Amino acid sequence: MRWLDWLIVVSYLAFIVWDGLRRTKSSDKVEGYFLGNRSLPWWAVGLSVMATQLSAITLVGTTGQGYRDGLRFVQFYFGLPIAMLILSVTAVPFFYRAGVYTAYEYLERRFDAKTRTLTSALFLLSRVMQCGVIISAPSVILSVLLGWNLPLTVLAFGLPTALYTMMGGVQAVTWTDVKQMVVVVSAVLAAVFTLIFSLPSNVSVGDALHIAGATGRMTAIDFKFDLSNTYTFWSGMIGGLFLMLSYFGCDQSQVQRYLTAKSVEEGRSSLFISAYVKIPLQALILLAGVLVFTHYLFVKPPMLFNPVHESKVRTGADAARYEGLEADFDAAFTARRDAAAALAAAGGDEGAVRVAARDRFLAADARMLAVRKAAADVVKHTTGDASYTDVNYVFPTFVTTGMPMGLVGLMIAAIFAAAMSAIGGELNALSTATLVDFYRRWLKPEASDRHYLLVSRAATAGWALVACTVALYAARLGSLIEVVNRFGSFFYGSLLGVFVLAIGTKRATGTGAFVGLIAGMCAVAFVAFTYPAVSFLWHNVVGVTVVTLVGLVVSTTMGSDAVKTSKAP
Amino acid sequence: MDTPTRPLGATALTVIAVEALVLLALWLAGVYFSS
Repeated sequence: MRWLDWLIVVSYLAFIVWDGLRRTKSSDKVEGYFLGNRSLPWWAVGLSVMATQLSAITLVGTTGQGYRDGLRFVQFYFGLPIAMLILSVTAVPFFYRAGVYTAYEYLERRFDAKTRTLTSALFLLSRVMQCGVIISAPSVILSVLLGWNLPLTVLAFGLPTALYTMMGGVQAVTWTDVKQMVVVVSAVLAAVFTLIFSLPSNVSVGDALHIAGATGRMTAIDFKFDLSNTYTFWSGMIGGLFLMLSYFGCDQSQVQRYLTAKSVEEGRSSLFISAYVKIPLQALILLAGVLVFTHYLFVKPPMLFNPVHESKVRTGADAARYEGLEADFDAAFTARRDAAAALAAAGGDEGAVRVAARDRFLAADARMLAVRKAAADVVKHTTGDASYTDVNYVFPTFVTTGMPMGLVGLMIAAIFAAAMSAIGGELNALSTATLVDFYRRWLKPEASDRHYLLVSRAATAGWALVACTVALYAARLGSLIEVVNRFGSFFYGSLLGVFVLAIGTKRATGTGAFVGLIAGMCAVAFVAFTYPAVSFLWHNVVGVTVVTLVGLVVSTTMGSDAVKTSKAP
Repeated sequence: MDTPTRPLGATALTVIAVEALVLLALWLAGVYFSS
């Protein structure tokens, strides 16, 4: 990074913290701090909803997936628009009119205290772990590629976010999210244009996309029904629908966003922004990854994108073999570059010439992949890390080596913006659930706003500390990230089932919902361990189905534990 | 900016139509660039 890049990153951080802190004055009451006095406009809430969902992992991981697999990851979001429609007529009016601060508070009104406490506790546990991962992933990548100190990088993500979230509450989070979305989208567009202009003069964008298409990277939709494949039309439409219903309808970090809207109508409209924009935005981010692939057809990429692993291999027992692979890699790159140029030149041709050029390119690409795989195997052998992958380093490597001065700073600022917008929303939600579902519910039901605000700010600081600690551990234990993701999938579908019972039925009782929730999580655990090939997106379907069925059966057979109707809101 | 006020049914149809168009565009792009 050069001086202009540093200036941009530091200016961004200073502006965001200032912008967040100036909301402190309007957050001196509990309702202002947690719900923005229910006064925020739909477009700001809608951008905040999107910003909270989009983390730095989206920027570096999704572009990496675009580089490796192409556009097919976009199918993961196919259920999102329908989920937003369903939530706009269920969750939004129910939660809003109930006047609750948390989604779990509603469950006590409908069921009982134990269901509220269990669901809120599960939320706190899973969210703080995920918040740690959200801080950890970009911190590790930036510390490796830019040589930054890891604990300080973790603090650079966590500290400013904790500061403005702690002081300004939900208003600080929402208004900084708006600016952060602008930074992220601008940076992605800048990357796409840089990649387009970096193509050789005799290769057009259409040629480049045709070359990517030859490898299957432009195929976004796969209609095959396959439970083991996360990225198919059906997995996205059905499994993704339930995941999005659960995330946007039952996760406090999202529910709190639309509770801040001026009215039910504005809450609904805020969700429709994601319904319209999310799939095109994800496709654009994936396209950036595809264009990184085409960029590295003509500019020699590193054989391995993670330089830390590379330096270990160079000084390890397999150093000689690695050097041999480097020579193979150079030859494979030259052959593929020439084959790609030939395929681009044959773009307008029909018939045998083009088919021959395409076959030659695919053979050269396969050779390149084989050498990279052999190099990755050497890394796995040397480091003992069987799960090694450098896919998350691909896009940041392009940013730091292929983008011009100024745009590097913009993209690093965007990585910070994406991470901070997600962290801020989550810290705010963690603090809200801690105060409302635990402190005010069980410890101190009556106190002044001043006292509750003090506790909320302390809770935000405490959760930020826990998340940063998790981030440091997650950086050392790569497998922890998988554990966290699996834990989330155990919980999401089952939680959705509890809300289906609460909002969708009048027969369900608190005991039924509680037993159903436990049964749902056990069923998901059973499926996950017995049929590991089944994609985690389908766990959400299993969870919601089992909770709803078991909840209804238990409610019917055990009868009245003072059945409450769903009139509450 | 004022609150957008549209009947929910019309909004639902618009959301579904826009998604269908986006998916169609993605599918066509895949077919075109993979040929």
